[in-house]
Amino acid sequence: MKKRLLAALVASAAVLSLAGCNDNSGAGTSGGSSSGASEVSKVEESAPATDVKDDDDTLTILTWESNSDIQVQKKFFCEKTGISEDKIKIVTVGADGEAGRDGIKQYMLGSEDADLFTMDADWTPLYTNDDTLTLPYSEIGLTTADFPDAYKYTIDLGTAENGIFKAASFQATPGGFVYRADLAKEYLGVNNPDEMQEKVKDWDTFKATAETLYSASGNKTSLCSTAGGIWQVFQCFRNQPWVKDNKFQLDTAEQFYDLVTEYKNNHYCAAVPQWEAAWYASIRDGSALGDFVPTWGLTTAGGGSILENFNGATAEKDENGNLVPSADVLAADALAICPGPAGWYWGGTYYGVSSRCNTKATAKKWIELFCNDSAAMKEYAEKTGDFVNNKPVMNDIINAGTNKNKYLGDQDHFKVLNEVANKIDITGKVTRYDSQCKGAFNDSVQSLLKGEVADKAAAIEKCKDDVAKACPGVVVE
Amino acid sequence: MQSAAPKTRKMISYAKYGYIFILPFFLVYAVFMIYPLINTILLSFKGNGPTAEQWVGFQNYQYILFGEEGNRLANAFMKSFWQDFLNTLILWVGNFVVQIVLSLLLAVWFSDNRIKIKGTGFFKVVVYMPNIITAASVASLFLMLFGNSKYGAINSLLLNAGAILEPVSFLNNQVITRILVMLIQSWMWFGNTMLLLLSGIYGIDPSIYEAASIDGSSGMNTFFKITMPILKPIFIYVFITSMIGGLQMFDIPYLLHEGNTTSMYLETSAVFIYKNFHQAVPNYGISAAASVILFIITAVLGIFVYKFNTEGDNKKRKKSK
Amino acid sequence: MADAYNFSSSEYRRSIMIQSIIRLVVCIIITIICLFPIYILIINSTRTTSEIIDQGVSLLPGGSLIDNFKTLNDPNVANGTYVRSFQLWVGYGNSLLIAVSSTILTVFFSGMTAYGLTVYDFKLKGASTTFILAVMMIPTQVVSTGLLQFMVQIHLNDNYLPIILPAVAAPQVVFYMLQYMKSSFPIDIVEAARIDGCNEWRTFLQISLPILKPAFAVQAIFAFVSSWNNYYTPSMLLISSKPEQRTMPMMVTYVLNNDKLTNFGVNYLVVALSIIPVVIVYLCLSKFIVKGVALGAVKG
Repeated sequence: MKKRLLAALVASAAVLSLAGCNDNSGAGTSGGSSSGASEVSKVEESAPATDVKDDDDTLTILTWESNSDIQVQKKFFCEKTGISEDKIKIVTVGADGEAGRDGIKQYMLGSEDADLFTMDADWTPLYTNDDTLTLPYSEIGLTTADFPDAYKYTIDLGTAENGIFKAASFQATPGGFVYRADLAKEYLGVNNPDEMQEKVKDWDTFKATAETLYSASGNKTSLCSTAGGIWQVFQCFRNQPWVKDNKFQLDTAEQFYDLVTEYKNNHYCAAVPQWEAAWYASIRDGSALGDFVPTWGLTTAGGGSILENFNGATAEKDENGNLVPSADVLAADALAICPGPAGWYWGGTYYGVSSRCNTKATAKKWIELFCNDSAAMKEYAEKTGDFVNNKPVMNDIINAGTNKNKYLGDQDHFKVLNEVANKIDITGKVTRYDSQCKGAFNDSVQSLLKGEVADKAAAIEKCKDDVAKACPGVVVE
Repeated sequence: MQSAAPKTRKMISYAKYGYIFILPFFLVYAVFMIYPLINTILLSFKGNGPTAEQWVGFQNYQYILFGEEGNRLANAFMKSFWQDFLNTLILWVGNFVVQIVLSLLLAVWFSDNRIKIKGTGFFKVVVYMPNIITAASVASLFLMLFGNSKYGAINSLLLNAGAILEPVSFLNNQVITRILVMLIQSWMWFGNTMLLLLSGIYGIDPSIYEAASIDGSSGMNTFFKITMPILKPIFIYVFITSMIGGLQMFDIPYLLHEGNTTSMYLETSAVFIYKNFHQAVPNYGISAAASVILFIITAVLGIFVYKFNTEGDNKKRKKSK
Repeated sequence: MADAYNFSSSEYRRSIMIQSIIRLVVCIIITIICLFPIYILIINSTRTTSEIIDQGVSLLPGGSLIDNFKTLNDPNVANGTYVRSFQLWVGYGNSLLIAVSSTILTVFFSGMTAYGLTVYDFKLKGASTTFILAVMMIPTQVVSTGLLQFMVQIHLNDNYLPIILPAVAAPQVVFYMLQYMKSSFPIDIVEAARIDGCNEWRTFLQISLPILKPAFAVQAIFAFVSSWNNYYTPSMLLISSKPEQRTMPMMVTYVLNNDKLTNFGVNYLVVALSIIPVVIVYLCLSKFIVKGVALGAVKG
């Protein structure tokens, strides 16, 4: 007991001296103190150059942790261009996309190097419309004409409200309707994805099918698992932008209140929450026939993608390092994918040029390699299984018939997704307020489903209140 | 019975040591906190979103507290601020009662020399365990248990037992979800409170108890006549800190929901501040003003409780003299 | 007053025994409630994702603990995201460094501040106490951005200093120490020490600190746990989130918030791993509380 107390006292004494040193550091210069806790600071202080010179040749990319693509891309870029890996610096400013949105802004408060941002599709318009954060692509010598093969919607999304092009993506992120092929056959008599597509080709057919399915399965199986999945598709279906002439408009979103209430009440939708175990369980035990899943949810890399969890494959490995599905996986052909009722996308990562970009040549090289260089993009797609933002390349891959998804009975999901991607039309509908409006709307829908608000009218009121709060300056009503 | 409280002090020439002892605290506080504090107060007089740089006077305060006729934005802020404040009070009161009763009971039991519980040492250690897991993990564990769908553990248990036919939407029910938060909060914090009380009890000079037991004082009597009065300062501490913690309750109410929306019944004042602060285009002004208001409310209540109790002490002391 | 003596001794003993059994049963129930979620957490870290999805909550462990651990450390899974995001020993090291130094700073300086405010009489004593009480009530979230802006200005972002050093000024702990001293600190002992020729420092360090041990132990536990679990401040101030600087909660969040990593078994394992050091530290410190270090021992 005594010894321990002594130790504590010694430690306290050490700490006391630390506090003494720090009077200086707090007042002005950092570093300079020389005790335990501040050792770390010393190292960190001396390493990065805080005053950036124009001839700085390190490409600094700000991103967030869950964007694991960037690490693969860094390697790929260095291999292709021969640029040394220490000339590419990846800085993580947050855990996920949303944290990245705030993290980049906070990082930009300082004066450290920043050349490129990765931006989540959700808030890309917020950044492209803020000139203090991003530069036009023309500043590094690129225009929309340099991306002739990109899917149209990605160009629209990367263009600011004033028409200036500011962000491109290496990937397109359309999604499809992933469903239980075995159950579809049993209850709907559907034999292949094309026949299934006939059953869900638009919202009316979708509803009719849901009704048939629910009764055919003995009130057991809903057509769709989550309301969130339906919303992801529905939100791309608009006639007007969310905010026009500085005025908020609900537009087609208003229909969604009725649609989703009806789906829930009639069990067309199982209404389990996304991302919880319940989501995957609902597909696996046949409570729901399927759900809407985007490109990045269809990977088979072993991290537990949406598709892997639908299937039940966990990342167990044999001696050769191959994934071995555990005992209770679904049969390999139990799942299949079809395009679904509309063109839609979910997420996606865009490159923005930082307003402090001082490595323009390398930044340009990076963007060109991943967003326009067909040969490189093809290689990247084949290497990573990602859906690259290049129509001819994707068509090549589809025509070659090489892409097979092992959890979709070897179906080529690219073929389905390509169809969906070409249907997406958001021209003239991208505004800096999209993410806030979608969020407010989605909240009000959930409030309605949960019973927090009494009816549709109250839900609309709530939505408008929330939009007003989320977008001060926008006229609501 | 106030033997532990200071009676006479002779501190004529030692005043400078007082300053030396409290210096580090104030120095560090000044270096790290004064700037952010001033910054917050300034922000509360500035605009929101695109007008964040504009000086708007008391507009944020007016919006939050009173709204403005015909102004949707102002009224929306007012509505949610008061609703959230009400939620906060409800959640705090429920949580406070459960937590205090439970922790007091256990603290008394564990320190009772007359009726000994086997394994007291073990139980003392165990009750604090819930506090060591982060709120995020706690929320996700409870979500697993109380999930709305048939996959939630409690629902599947009840369904299998035939007690219910349809899964219960625990988290969508205003009453159940609030009680759940109260219980989770109590579950997380009662061990903490118990330890505080216990440390206070252990600090009491055992000779006082010895004297009491020689006098033939019963357990109950000892507790109310000796332990309670001596522990009073610790009680005040527990009460005030629990009030602060309650008024600033954040994690569990913010995290306990399925899907991506916080439950309206659980949105507390701290969630209000956080949301306005962390949205895509932050409402710094509103957020800062709400913080200032919350601070004033907390401070008034806190100082009131503190002064009220200390004053009582002083009077008693004077009388006894 | 003396009703205890009216019982016949066997009756008295019986009533004590019954009460003792009732209390034991209540304690056991509370223990189960306290440990149940933690138990589930640990059980789930031994199961596969499929088991968790298909069977929901289970009371029996699965057999996949080692597999989950391997997955967590496998650079081939999910493009190596697990390996990159979760570096167990780095996280332990960093979090321990921060938590241990914060704890020592908090406990020692709070004790010192409270001691100064209790033992000495000086002009600004009342004002200082009120100030500490007041700042204790400031909601922290908004203030934190000001802190970040300030730290960026003086280039202390990406640095542990602004995470650790503010622990010196912990108003809540000072308040606790103040209240604790009010109830159980014998001021006369200071006087006695002075008469014995102790200087003020020695009186504080060698005579007063030991008396305050129970208070220190309790606050040390709280400070350690809250510092260890603090995600908000480090993730905000370590803005570049350098892999070698990341704390445990940052790593846990990086894994849990990643939409592409929904391997539940592994994710539960990550959470379980993150609490092990806290449990150990708690068990060590709790000895002080369990034994109930009493003041009389020192006083005698």
